[in-house]
Amino acid sequence: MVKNKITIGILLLVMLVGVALIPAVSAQEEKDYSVTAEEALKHANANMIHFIATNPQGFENWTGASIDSKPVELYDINGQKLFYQFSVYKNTNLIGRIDIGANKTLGQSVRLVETDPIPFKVAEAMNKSIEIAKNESPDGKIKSTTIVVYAYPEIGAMTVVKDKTTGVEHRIFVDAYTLEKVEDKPATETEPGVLSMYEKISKKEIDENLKKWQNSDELTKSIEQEANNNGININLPVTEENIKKLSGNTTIASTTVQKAIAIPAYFAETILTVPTYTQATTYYCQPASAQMLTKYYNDVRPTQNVIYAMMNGVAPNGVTDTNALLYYKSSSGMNKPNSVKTTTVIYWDTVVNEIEDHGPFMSGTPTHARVCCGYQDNGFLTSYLRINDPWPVGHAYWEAFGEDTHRIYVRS
Amino acid sequence: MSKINGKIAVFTVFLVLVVVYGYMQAPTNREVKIDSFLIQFENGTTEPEVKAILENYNMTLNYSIDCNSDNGGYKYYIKVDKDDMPDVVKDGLKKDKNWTDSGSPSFTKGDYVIYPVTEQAIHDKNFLEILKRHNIQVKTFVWCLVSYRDNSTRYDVLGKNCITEKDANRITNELEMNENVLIVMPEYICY
Repeated sequence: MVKNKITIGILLLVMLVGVALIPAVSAQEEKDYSVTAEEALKHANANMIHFIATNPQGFENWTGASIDSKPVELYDINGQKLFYQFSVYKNTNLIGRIDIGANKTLGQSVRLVETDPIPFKVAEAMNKSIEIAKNESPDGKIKSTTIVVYAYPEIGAMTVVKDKTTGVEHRIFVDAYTLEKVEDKPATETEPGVLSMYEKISKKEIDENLKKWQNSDELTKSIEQEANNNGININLPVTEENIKKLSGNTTIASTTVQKAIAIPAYFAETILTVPTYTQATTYYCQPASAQMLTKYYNDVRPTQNVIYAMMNGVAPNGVTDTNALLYYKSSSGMNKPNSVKTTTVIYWDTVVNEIEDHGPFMSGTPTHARVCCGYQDNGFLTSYLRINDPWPVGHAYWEAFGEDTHRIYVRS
Repeated sequence: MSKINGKIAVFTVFLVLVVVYGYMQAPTNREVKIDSFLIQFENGTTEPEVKAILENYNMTLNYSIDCNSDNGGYKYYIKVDKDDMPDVVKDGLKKDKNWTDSGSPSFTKGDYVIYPVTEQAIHDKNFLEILKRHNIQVKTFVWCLVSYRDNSTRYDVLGKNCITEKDANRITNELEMNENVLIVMPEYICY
């Protein structure tokens, strides 16, 4: 009888401890996924060394550059920290930006590398969003103003204002390049208007993304180790002097660093020469992307107006892939009659084959069309796609693999 | 003279108003909007059958159906039982890289692997012999464009002629459960 009571008592105790521990463990797991600014800086520095060493297109002048250790924190529209954006300077000139994921569930740590960054107006965008919030809700209380990626890769300011009477919260978005207001519906998580990057990650993708982050951490640590062996602190900005220390000779810096630390067991890269054009209107991303591809495949440059018309575009509407294909396939258009649209889950090998066997292709996010014209593969540690983006002005960047949702492959 | 000046002034004002109106109408946001679906159906599915299938789903808005092979990409495919796939591959299914296109990878549907093949493959004697040995037929995809577009000049109005990504994902997931539906591709409006 006494034994039974003791057994029941122990069981209850175990259950009690279990109940108490489960939320704690879950909370711990959540917390573990976040990346600190210090960790992010390490990744930014290590990957900058890696890029300098491997010297892909756009990094020719990066030796001697240094990273500003204070990043701009970019948030998701759901309020969660999304990226640490590090600025890269050379002789006080801004020559690049590196976006590091603020959470391991996003996957590979380096999310975006810009080699010809377009200056954007953080302070002005924030002020304007506050100003609009005050005008639209004079009785509202401004809760916060942050810089957000409101629809990847577009950046803007988001001010959250709460109506004192109704308690309803509104979000005001202002694009950081154009300083134009971006429409939003009242702040509920499910309402359309802007796009959350966190919400699009499915549960089954999280485990895979955590592995990808571990891989990029492995690459960072291997570079860090080699730097430490040479007496270089990777937490400090990477200077020309440090690169010299790693190589011992500036003229062979790239090759030496490449052999010593930066090249994993497998490395492959291809960049096709595709021009970068600016879209002529706010809704011409498809024509502008098709224009870049037409120049590559046919060596002619029809106007974006002509392309838009052939895509059955009606101003000021955007264009879907099926309509864009009217131009791709037409004999009076790009004349690539077997071009196809796909939304099938993309595999890395598919991209590599596409670039190597066929050429550049249209790479779309849910709201935007760009051109993919290359890749860099670091043996499963990190992988990037080279993107030519027509908005807001034509520019190119390296993007972590896996951000696009639909593609048009060009076929003769 | 003053009459001409007056006309020029009126015309200038009109021109400015047109430009301002155009500017106000231009979309400056990047909302995710889907105005149609490109759907790949099994071989032999007819347009009335497509209509009947779609009627079982909540498509959110009214839509039109256009089943036309020009809508889609690859025309041909073979359907191989998952268990038989290793034998067919062993027999040379992947021998010639021109028989398939990496841009359209194979995928599974129930107990089968759907394996898109090129026009070149279906005219290749060696390829056809492999199919014959394993009693596999070449099939043709049925591509249908299911569109919410109406006659409005703006075809990106949510709730009127296009839908949200959330609805599009739900519809995609539900439709892809149907045995006659192979792939559902939402048509994103890109800006």
